[in-house]
Amino acid sequence: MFRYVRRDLMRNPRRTIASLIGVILGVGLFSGVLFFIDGSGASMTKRSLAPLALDMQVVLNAPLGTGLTLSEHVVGPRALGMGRRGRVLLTVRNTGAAPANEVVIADVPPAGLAYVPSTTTLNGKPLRDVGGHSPLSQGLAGTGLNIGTVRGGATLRIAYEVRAGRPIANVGALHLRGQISTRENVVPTPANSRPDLAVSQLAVQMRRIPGVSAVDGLAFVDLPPRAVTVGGRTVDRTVRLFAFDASYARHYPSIHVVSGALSPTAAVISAEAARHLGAGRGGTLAVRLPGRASPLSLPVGGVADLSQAKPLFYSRKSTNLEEFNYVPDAVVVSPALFRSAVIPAFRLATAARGTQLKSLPFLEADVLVDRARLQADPAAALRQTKAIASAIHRVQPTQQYLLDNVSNTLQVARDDAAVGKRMFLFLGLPGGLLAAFLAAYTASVLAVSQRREHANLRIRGAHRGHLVRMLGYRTAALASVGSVAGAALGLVVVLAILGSSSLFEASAGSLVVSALAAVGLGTVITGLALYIPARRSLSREISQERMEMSLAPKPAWRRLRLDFALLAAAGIAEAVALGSGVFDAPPGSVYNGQAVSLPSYLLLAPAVAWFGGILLCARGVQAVCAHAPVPAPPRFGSLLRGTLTRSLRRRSWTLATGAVGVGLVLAFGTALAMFTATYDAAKAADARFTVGSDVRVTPSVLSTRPHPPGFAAQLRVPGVAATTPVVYKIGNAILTSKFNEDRKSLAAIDPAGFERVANLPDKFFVGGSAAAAMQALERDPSAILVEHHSAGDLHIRTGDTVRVLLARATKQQVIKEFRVAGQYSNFPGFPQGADIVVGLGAYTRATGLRESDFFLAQTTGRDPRSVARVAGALKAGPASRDRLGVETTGTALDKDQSSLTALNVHGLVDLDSVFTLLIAAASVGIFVFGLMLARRREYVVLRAQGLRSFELRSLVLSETALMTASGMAGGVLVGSGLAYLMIRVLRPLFVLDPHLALAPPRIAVLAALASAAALVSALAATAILRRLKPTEILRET
Amino acid sequence: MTGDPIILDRIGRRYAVPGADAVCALDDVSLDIAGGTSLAITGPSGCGKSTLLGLLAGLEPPSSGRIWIGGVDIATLSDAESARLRREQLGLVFQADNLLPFLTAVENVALQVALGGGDSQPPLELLSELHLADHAHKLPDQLSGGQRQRVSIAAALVKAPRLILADEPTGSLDARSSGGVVDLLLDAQRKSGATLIVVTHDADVAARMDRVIRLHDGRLAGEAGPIAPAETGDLRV
Repeated sequence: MFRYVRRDLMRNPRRTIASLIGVILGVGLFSGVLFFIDGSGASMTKRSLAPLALDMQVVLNAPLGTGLTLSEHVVGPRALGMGRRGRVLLTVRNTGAAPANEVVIADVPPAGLAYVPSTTTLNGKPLRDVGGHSPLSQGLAGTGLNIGTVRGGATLRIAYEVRAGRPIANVGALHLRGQISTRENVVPTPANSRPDLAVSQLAVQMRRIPGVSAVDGLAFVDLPPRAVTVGGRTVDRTVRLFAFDASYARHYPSIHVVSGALSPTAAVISAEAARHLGAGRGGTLAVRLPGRASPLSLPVGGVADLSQAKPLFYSRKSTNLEEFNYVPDAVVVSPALFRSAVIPAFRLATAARGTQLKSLPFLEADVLVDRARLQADPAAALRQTKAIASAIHRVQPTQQYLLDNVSNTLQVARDDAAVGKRMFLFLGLPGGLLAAFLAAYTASVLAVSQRREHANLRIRGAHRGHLVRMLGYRTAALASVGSVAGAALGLVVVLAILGSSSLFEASAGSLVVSALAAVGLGTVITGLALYIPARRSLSREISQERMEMSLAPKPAWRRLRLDFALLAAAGIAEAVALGSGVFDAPPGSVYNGQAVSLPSYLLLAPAVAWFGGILLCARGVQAVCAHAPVPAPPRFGSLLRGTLTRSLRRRSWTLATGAVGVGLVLAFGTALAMFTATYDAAKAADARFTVGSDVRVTPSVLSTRPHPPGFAAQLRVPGVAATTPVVYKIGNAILTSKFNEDRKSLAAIDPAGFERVANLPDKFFVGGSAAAAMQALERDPSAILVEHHSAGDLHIRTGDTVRVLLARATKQQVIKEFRVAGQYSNFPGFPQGADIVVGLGAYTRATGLRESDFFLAQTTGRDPRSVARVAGALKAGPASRDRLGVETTGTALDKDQSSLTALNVHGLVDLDSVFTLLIAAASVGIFVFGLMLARRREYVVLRAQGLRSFELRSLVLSETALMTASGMAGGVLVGSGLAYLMIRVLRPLFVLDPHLALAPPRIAVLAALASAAALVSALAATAILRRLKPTEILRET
Repeated sequence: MTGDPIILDRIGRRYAVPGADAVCALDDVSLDIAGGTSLAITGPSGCGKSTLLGLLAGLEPPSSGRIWIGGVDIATLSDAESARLRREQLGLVFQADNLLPFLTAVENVALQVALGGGDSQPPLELLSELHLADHAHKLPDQLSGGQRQRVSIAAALVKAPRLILADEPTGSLDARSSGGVVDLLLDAQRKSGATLIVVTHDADVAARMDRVIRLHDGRLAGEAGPIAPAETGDLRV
């Protein structure tokens, strides 16, 4: 029986190929997507880490250090019998020169030992118990004993007696629980800890950890206004004093030393500080430090542009680690100088009672992970970085805490990859469904042709069991061979699209798992799809079959109203999702380790709607066909039209079923085309939103030229339609309401110009429109727009009067009253966030400041080439005479640093498109092949009756064309709806809501190729017809 | 009108078989058939009867030899000319009814009218003559085997062809229906003066034709004039 099946498959190559083609293509698509996910997901490590400024930060708990140590041990016999007494001795030593203040010692006896009341002594003098408890563990909270200040070099001893509650074999093995804390280091340090290490010592130990590329010390402290002077000039705002060495600057290239060099004996100052102090190389800085009587005098060794130095200015506050808190006036000294002069000065300042310092030194060791050694797969890389972090944490765990940014980023990338996989899987899922559909369709087509063979076998004595077993063998052979071939095809196509280097970045294990999953699932799904229709066919008696064929029974899905059921299910899922707000999920945050929340389970709704929609279209096609007008008998009408319309009318389900296959493929292709176009448009819109317009021109801090608002006119190079100036700095204002006040980032814009160049969607303006908001700013100099969260925090409502400190921390700072003219949720051009927006004229008049921080330019053409051309013209023109940074939508980074938006969607769409076209061609081909199998006798009869070859060809072509056209029409219709649903699911990826973008050229190409496939198939079919032996076929009964 | 005379001159037909020797279905068959007569072609299965009928219908070309129908060598006709011959001059009847399943009885007949163009007997009238008026609007699957074969004959005769070719027209019918079908064919042949060629295994059917020829292994094995049914097994060679 197995040999019979083998011969049947080998000797009927057309039938076998027809059965295999759907399985191969469907599984090819499915497996291709799995391989693609492996390949592109693996490269997400590199992409996700690219924008990361600092891998890991080891932050010292006590940057000022105290040199204070606490040792603890139990003195007396080595073993203690039950009820016997021992003595616990705690020794506090201040090995440093500076006193340690507010020293608190806490201790409870080790397990098994109990405190003997009234036995505590300090340097031999008894200490009273507190409330019946040890003075080292007072009250329920176990508060320790404050022994006040411990002078430098001093040693104190505290002792108390304990009684054993059980036999203690070795008191040396007991876990001792003493702790010490001070005003300088409020984090309790356990007794017997290793002595504190300097950052440089920590760095030496951490560099030995495998996977660590570099460890560099960084220290900084904010000095109050007027703390730095050169000659008679000073800086009237906060100056940040940094300490890092040349190796740090080498490892973090966003630090640009533009003149001079970092040196152990001199200071490098920021470009802004140099401008404000009128100093350059050769000058001498006087830095006034708290706790130091005389200013620190330092030669200026260079000037640096620190305006892009994220490692230096990213917030160290856990609540807003992603905030770039730039301090324009900065001084950089060597770590040794910071250690020898700055730390002792602050130590002295903090030691003085009643001293209130706004800023304390911050010491950290910044760890660079060896990214080249990280696995390409973010999940595997995360395991590596976690191991590194754990090893780092074990170095002096009591002295430091770790900010593990790289692991957070990889965690987001891993979760993004998982979301991406689910999203991509949806794009591959149709492959599986199409494979199943094509397999089932082919099986039903072949079942017709195999009835005669089965009848012959029955006549020769084969019983139903034999036929079922043969069907099982045939199905298993076709499904398994087709699935293996499909997986191989998928691998080849992905190799062609991604390239071997990208694909094989994925681990061999994941590729093997994908291959096995594709083959396994493909075999099962397509096996069932092949088996079920054929098995049903076998179960019928031949006479019944004939009757059912002749009456053209409705397909099972039509009888079960599956189309309505699927569409209803999709509608309910969407309604529930909409109601529960899943489409408004918050964006991701790398530093908070929060991935983009993509409700990928909702991707099932489009899949369900896809199938349901196409089935509904097929129902419509059938209804139209069934009502095709035919002349009243005995008139026949024209030969072709009369034959075709009657064939369609009385066999409407044949065409409708064929249209389902084409429709499914075309719908998928259309959805993909629209999805890609929308995805691209949304990314472009987001980039434009981030930049503010097509091009942003930012004067460098190194520029010595003024950039008043009028400078915008100088940026009108060819290709620029409009320009506008903007004033903006982080934390440059204080907003005061009746309720409270808060530091805010203010943007001052020219309303008319800004409206012209920037994309201002109405939906971002709460209870109003963009135009109304801009008009309000234009008309009323005291109008202000407030970001609605800020408004909420300060209990501000539209119409309220607020006070704003403008140009905060500058000589020109001034308080001005404004009237809140509107609120907004988002404002273009300010990726760091603009909390309040005022008119530029009002700002300039109030502060007298005329310097713009950046300029936005709108180009005449929006396409990337036009924008790039303008950027080139700006660089060659104004930027060649001045230090100007030119950023375009093409160079804008994603604000949320989500690696998901960096996914290679185009590659996946290319993959899908290849298979879409092949499946469309196969679908049409199978339809035509099915026609040939089912109707070859009809065609031969028509030929025998005198139908000419071209008439016969026209007949086949017309039916194929109608099937293809109706499938395409339904496909484009359903595909558009599908794209709409898919794009809604992607909403959390983008700042701006994506709007459905049509892709007529891609859809036209798809339709043209499907039409070409239909034409070729039909022509091939009629060519086959001519080769048939009519006399033999006409004799068949 | 008188049917066309038919001359078969050393006709041969071979089929290529992949990986094997060509199969010779007909070999050197020559035959003259007078116009307006009836001829039965008999012989065992696989002897080439249906192949010969297919060649006469122009459905496939002979591998060798010539076929003259009314002075036209149909082996030289193009596909379109061959189709035109069939639609205008030939009526074909087969053992299987060969009706198009999506057309009603009357539409099947009307299709032939549409194919042939020109004058013809109204299909409904013809069906009435064949006692099929009540079944004219039924699909083939709603008819009995005999009814389907009569519709098939109606379709073949509606254009009053000059040559009627019938391949086992009674092969799947009972004796009563079989007799009726042969009556129909002969009646039509006599009325129109057409030439009738019937391929049959049935001695009774063969006996009713003007001439009977016998094929064996693709060759003409013998010929008889009008003979009694009992004599068909003993043809003169």
